[in-house]
Amino acid sequence: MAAEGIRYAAHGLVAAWADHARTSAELLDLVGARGLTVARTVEPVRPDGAALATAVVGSLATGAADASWELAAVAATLSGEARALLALLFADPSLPTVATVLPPPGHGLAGIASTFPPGVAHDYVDAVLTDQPASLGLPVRDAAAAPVTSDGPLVAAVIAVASQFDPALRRDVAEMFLHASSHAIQVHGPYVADEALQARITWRKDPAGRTTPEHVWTVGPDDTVTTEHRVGAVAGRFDSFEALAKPLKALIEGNGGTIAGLHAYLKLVGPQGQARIFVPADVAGLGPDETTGFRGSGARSHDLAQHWTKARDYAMEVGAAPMPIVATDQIATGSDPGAVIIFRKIGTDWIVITCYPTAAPPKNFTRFGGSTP
Amino acid sequence: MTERTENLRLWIGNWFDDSGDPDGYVEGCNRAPEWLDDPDQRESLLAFRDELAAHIRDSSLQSLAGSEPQWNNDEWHRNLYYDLFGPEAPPGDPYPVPPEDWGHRRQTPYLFWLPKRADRLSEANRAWLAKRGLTHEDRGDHHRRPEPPDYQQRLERLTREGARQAWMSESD
Repeated sequence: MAAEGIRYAAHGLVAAWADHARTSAELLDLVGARGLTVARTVEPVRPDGAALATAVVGSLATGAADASWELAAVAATLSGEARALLALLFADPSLPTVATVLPPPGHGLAGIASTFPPGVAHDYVDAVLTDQPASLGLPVRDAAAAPVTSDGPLVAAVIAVASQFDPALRRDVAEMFLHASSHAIQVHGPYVADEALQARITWRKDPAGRTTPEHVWTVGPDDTVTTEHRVGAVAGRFDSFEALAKPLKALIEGNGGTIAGLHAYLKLVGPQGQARIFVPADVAGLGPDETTGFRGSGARSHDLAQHWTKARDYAMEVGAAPMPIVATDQIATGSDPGAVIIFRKIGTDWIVITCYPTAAPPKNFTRFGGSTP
Repeated sequence: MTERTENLRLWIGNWFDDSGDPDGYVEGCNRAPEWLDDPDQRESLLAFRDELAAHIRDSSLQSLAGSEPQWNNDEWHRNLYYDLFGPEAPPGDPYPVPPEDWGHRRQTPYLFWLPKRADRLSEANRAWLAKRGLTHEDRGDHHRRPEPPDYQQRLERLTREGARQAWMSESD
């Protein structure tokens, strides 16, 4: 638990530092703008306007300098505390002793990151600072109120997906999604609300609202959260049934247009009865604005996502404030975007366990069609 | 040099990749004893085990998303080897994990995703813990092992000797 608490505190400190830098800039800009406004207002209407205006601007400048000094002292404290925590987190005892010159208050986030020597701590701070301005936090009470799809009509949704396929395929396609082990539509379908996706990564709340031991979600009076629902630092959905159907459509079309063709392919790439496949966006025909996603703030790599995920679990365990997240359109912004689709053989049939958008292919998944970038 | 085989790619890709789907990782670890008893899977799984050990020995495999340092990949492979095959260290590992670290100083993905409530442990969870001499309380704390001081030199030597390829992220 100790390490998880350090992760949570480190993220909070660096985020607070980013907020401090931003509000410092706003405050100092505001003081400057105020002075000019006052000067412009008094100058023409008073006989001694010009002198008064000069005095006002002068005293505001003195105030701004004082404020700047105070803000710099706060920044120095934040910097020292952040370095001490990051030294623990990354087992780098030299971090607090490295000589640093902090940028003057209000000089932007890049200056803060550059006070860290190249390495993991620098990358961590840079990622958290980059995401911080667009971050949001979903309070656990809002997560509790987020809708779940088990209240909605699953069969109608499955029919809506199956209708995207050739009539001869619809029955088989419907069965792939209707199986009790499939959660593609319930967790990644268009009727999963934004707050449900946010609640999923921030508090591990199952968007499908399953009440089985693996998924049941409870929040205590002290805001601690208990669940076994497994999710990392990112969650996404398809914004339409048409978009959700696209990866499977591409797979069937690329394998002779028949279920038998699809099964032959899955047997080849899933010798243990499970096949995890990446379908590139251009192969599936998925474009921007067809999917919606959220990911942990600063969770821009495997390692950074690990830190975020463990801090998130810490927040759940102790009932702390939410870990921040950012909205993301994986297809529009990803380096090699597409969709993941996971099949499982149950009896003689292959069912779709899940299907979700992704910014980049998992390294060892089977890549379907297209060319490697 | 140990080439990454299609057999290894399919095992990691279909069950043990780090990106998303932690359910697959956990279930794969739970099913390992069953696969070892299955004549259709046993040989393939053991070949995967030996290849994974060779890659750990030579720092010659990258499985993590993005361009993580080789050391992070090696450490992730050590965790996978433990989660899937048990407590014996992979043969030839130049930086073996002290056995007492598992479940204490060191937390693997399986330990991270283990049910937090004891009454939610499955039979497979219990068997997994028993095989490794751990109890439900031994969930581990994620203290990272920093890269050893001689690690970069070792990488350069292995690259020079052709035991591994340098990755793009290593050419600064």
